[in-house]
Amino acid sequence: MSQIVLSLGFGLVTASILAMGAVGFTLQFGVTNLFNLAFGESMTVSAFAAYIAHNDLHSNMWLAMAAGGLAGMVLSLMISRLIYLPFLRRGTAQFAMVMVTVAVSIIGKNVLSAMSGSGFYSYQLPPERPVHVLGMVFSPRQLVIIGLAAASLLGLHALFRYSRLGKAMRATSDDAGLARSVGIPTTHLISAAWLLSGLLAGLAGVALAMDLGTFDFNMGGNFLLIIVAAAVFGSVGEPYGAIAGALVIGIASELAAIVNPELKNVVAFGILVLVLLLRPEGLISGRVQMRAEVAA
Amino acid sequence: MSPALQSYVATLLVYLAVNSIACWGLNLQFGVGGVMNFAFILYQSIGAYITAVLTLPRAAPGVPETYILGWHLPWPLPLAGAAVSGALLALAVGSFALRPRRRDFQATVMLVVSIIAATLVTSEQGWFNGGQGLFAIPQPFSGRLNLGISGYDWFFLGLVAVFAAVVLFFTDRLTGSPWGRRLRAMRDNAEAAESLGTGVRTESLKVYVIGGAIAAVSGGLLVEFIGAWSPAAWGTGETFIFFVAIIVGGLGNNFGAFFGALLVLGVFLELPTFLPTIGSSNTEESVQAAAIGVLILIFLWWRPQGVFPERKHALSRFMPAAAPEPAPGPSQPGTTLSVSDLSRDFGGVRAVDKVSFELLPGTATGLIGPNGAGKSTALKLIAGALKPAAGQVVVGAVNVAGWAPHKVSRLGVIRTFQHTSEFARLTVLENLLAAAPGQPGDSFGGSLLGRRHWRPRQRELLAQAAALLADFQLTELADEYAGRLSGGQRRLVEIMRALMAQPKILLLDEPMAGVNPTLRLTIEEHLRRLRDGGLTMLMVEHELSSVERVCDSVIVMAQGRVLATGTMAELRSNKEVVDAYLVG
Amino acid sequence: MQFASRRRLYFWATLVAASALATGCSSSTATSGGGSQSSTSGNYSVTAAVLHAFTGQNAFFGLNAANACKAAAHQVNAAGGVMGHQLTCQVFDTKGDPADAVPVTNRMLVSASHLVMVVGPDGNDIPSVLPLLEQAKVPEMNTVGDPRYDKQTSPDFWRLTPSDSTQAPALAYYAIHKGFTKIVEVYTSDLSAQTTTGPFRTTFSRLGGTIVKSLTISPDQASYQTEVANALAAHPQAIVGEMDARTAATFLSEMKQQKGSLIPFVVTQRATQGDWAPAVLPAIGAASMGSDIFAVAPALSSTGPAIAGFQQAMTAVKANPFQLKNPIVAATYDGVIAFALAMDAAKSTAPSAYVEDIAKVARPSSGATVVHTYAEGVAALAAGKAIQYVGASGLMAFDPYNTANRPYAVWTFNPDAHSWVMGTALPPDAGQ
Repeated sequence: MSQIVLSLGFGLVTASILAMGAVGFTLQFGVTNLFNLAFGESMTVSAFAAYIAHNDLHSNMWLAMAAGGLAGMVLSLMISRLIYLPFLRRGTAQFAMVMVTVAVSIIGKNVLSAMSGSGFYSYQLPPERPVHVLGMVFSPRQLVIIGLAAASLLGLHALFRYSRLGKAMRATSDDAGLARSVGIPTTHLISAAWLLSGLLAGLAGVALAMDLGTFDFNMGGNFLLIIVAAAVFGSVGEPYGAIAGALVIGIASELAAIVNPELKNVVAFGILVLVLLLRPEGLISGRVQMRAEVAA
Repeated sequence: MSPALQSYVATLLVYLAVNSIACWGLNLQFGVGGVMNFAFILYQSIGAYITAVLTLPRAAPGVPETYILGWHLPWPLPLAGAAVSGALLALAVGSFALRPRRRDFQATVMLVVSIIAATLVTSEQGWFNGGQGLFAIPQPFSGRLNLGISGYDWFFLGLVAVFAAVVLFFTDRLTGSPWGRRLRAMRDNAEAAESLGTGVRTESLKVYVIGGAIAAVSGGLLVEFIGAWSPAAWGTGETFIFFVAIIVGGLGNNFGAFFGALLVLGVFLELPTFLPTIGSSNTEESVQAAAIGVLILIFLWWRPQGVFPERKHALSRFMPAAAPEPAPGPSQPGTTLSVSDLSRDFGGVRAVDKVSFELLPGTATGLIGPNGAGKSTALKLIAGALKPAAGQVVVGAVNVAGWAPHKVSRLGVIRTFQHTSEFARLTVLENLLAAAPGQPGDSFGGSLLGRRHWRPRQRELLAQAAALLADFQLTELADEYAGRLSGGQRRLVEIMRALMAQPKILLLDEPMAGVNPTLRLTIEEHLRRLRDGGLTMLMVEHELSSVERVCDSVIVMAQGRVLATGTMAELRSNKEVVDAYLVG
Repeated sequence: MQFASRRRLYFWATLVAASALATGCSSSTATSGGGSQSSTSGNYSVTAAVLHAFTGQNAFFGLNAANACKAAAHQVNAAGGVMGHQLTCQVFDTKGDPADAVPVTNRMLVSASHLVMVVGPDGNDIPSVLPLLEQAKVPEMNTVGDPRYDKQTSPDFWRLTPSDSTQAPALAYYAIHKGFTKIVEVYTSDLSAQTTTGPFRTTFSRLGGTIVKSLTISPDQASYQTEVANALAAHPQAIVGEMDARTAATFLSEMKQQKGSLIPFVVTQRATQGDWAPAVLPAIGAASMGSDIFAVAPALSSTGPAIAGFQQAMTAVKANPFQLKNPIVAATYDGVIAFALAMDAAKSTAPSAYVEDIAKVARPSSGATVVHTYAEGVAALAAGKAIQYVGASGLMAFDPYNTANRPYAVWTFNPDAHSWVMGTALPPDAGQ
């Protein structure tokens, strides 16, 4: 029993990182209708940006985290404006766009590889005493990560419910054509969606690098797998569903590892397959219609 | 040439042939069928593994190598096993990966499968010897033939060339048949194809399975040549190298796929090794790999059709030169359409609320109302594109509520779309032919039977299409790509296409949208003629003048409910209706 | 529609053109490769081809091999070359992919002028490449651990370092010797880890130890917290096993974080490879790295002219300082030198002629002069003596299956010097 509680705690940490990543991924999809398979690389770039801030420029970790978030935002906006938008304006088909994101991912990963010499990097944070909470064990840093995730998701929730921007985003997710006809300035919204998604990618990337202890240019790409699984769980485009997916997958993976560590991979994959077999449009009944056209 | 040089050349050619086979398989899946198989390398790999474990004998005790099967079958049975395994794996993966409607979603799922499979095969030692892989796989006939080193390589090249020829012949036959046309239509616009009778999920699965088998054969041939296979040989990046090859070479074109294999796999990846090293070799490889991404972007931007674009199927020369017969009316008179209590919700809002009406053959009924009244939704519910929450849709005597669109269309319910939905990369003639139901050769089995099987019927259909084209005065556009036409012309193509489908009930979703007044009159004339010929028609339209000229009676909807029914004159004096239009 | 006849013409034309291109390309590279193609006797250099992955996750193996070869060539050429011919190292990248490795090997056989030996390939590529090398009768040297080659019979296969089947018993021996009788074994579920578990378990229990928990973990995970908790819950004295650099960094840092400190970790020679310490050290800190990690890896000569020559040569070719202390690199260096000495002993650079001498020049025998550098070896051979080359990696006696079984030693990491330091050598055949 105590093992289960322990693993629950561990799963919570993974779920926190996963939630930030999955919500970023799914939020951007909801507004832009684009499957961005280069999302992992945004995470990796942000982790490197934080490394430069923390290790090279000797700022504290909070500033480094902010630097990572900023890097994610800038990168996402740049890629969407300089690469995705021109392709969309050119009339590239929706499914060809995912090839474009794959190309961006390939280029990004290899540029990072060349620049980082394919080496491993670490923030080399000082060791901390573990904290025991309700039978679970955390390092203070992990509690910060959980807190960060909670804060950013609460912030998003407030954004959706109370701000015009957030409500407009939800409306555009539901029906872009209708939103446009009601006068919602979708171009601004789309930029906002990319910025938000980039910010979340950045925070998730730095958090992941911190939690792993050491990272390299492959970090984000490897993580993209379970981000997709979490996003699909609750219906792609639906942020609250992604949070649910993150919790389920993060915790289930750790619980499965009690039985057999090799099950970890299979759990996320199994959940993905199950969701697809039962309800291809996601388990949380989709507010988001899977639209055919891609928002520009 | 020295023996070493001969071996080198022969090896390169073997690789070219094997990769061409693989590219033809992927081309069938993606270039023709539109299925973005991001797990492609997995299928080449299962073919390699199964060929290996069927060729090898059972692992000798004491040798640290474990794998399944080990049946030591004679050639070419292992390759047959490979094809079967590729097909079965594709069936299994496709059963869940092809369930989402969006192709990019499908692709992402397949990518995840590919990554997971690599992890599983590496960690499960007992399957295919895990990370170390299989080795010492004997080359076919190597013991029995007494050829020298390079002699054997040329012999093997001959073998592979035979397989390549067979695969090429096979895929060409499939692509050129009516089934190939059906697949290409599905690729261009899955929703429209489905509304005309193509079961998209099933046909996608079929093309996925066939492509999987072909990929597996290429893997089997490769492993028979190199004698070893391990997870290191099938990283996920390999899939995208194949994609680059067919995008660069030309999607939907088998020669393009071959050219792409030559260019990308042969020249692009081999050639840089002849160049001097810049920087560390790690940087160089990163640059090479990044170049794949750059190449994708360049081609998707400037020449998405590739160096050798898909060949145009110019069928106009097969159209009869003689004077066209009168345009085909519905081959049978229309059927009754009876809708009762049809309802559907969207995010808490009742989009269609207990709608009921009945339509008789030989009548045209208008469906009008303010924006957001639920008119298009009602059409989609009838055609099966949306599932109703409640209610019945009775076509003739059959309740089709909740049926898949392609099944509903087979009962003769054909709908046109609000946004033009032509098959852009098919010619106008092909668009029309694609709509004709039940042609010989438009299934996988039928396509294999060859031209003699489907040509006669195709000739008949071409005659029908010719008549339609003449009727709508678009004969000179017969061989134009439908996507290149003007908006009005595309609208006409869509209507002609709907007529080729031999509808019994025709559902028109704003047919006059964006059409100039002269053309409008032409279309109206055709519609009246169809109505008089016995067809049942339901037309959603905002152009009330058109409605007045074509329709016998009109249904008014507002806020999901039927407000009133009657002639335009009656409705004009109905206060409720007038209010709804002003307010809604 | 069937293939139009014009298209068919293009198809065949392209095929012919492709062959012509390939032929043309390769013949032009043969000259631009390493050295001239002139076969007149006299000044031509002989080539040692380094056939390895220089890309992907095993890239550092390739870098190790390349520098070892260059350092050895440096020594050989300084002493006048092989039978008067300069030795050049030429690099061929297999990309770590057994399918890609085949055309690369073919190209190597065509373009390397006067190819006398091949350094490599690594474990991924050997299965597909070895048959080609055997056909071409070119001897190769490798450091692959896979036990499947323990009884191999090809005369062209030479393994310079011990098989994993001896690594595992050595690991068990050391663990017991250090007093760790109650351990948790941890391996990642890929490549070489799989060949070590079986022999390890057998030896460990035979020597009286107990494995309280056995964990096989998947690489590339975001967290190993549960696995670490599992391991700690069994209260072992140490963990023994093998993990790749990234997995080890995450696993060990999470252990440190959960427990507050590390428990001793006895690891295989994988840890001494160039990527491991740079990944793990920052994750767990210098203190833990220095005191809690013990790597069981082949021994190096610690002093003497052999190791001095090796390190001097490596510095001369601008190798990474890590590589100077790497036993695998030293073994490769010794391999190239031994092959060169074999050519001198056979008085021929033809591979078929000198292959038998490879084992001879490294074998201990009464009456053989022990030499520690190439220069010494050449001089002794010139004086008509039989030699035994004992180089930077120590004794390299090939068994009948062409594997050099060597003693292991315990290595610990010195954080200040940023390198592994060899400790006591284990007895030969430790644990077997």
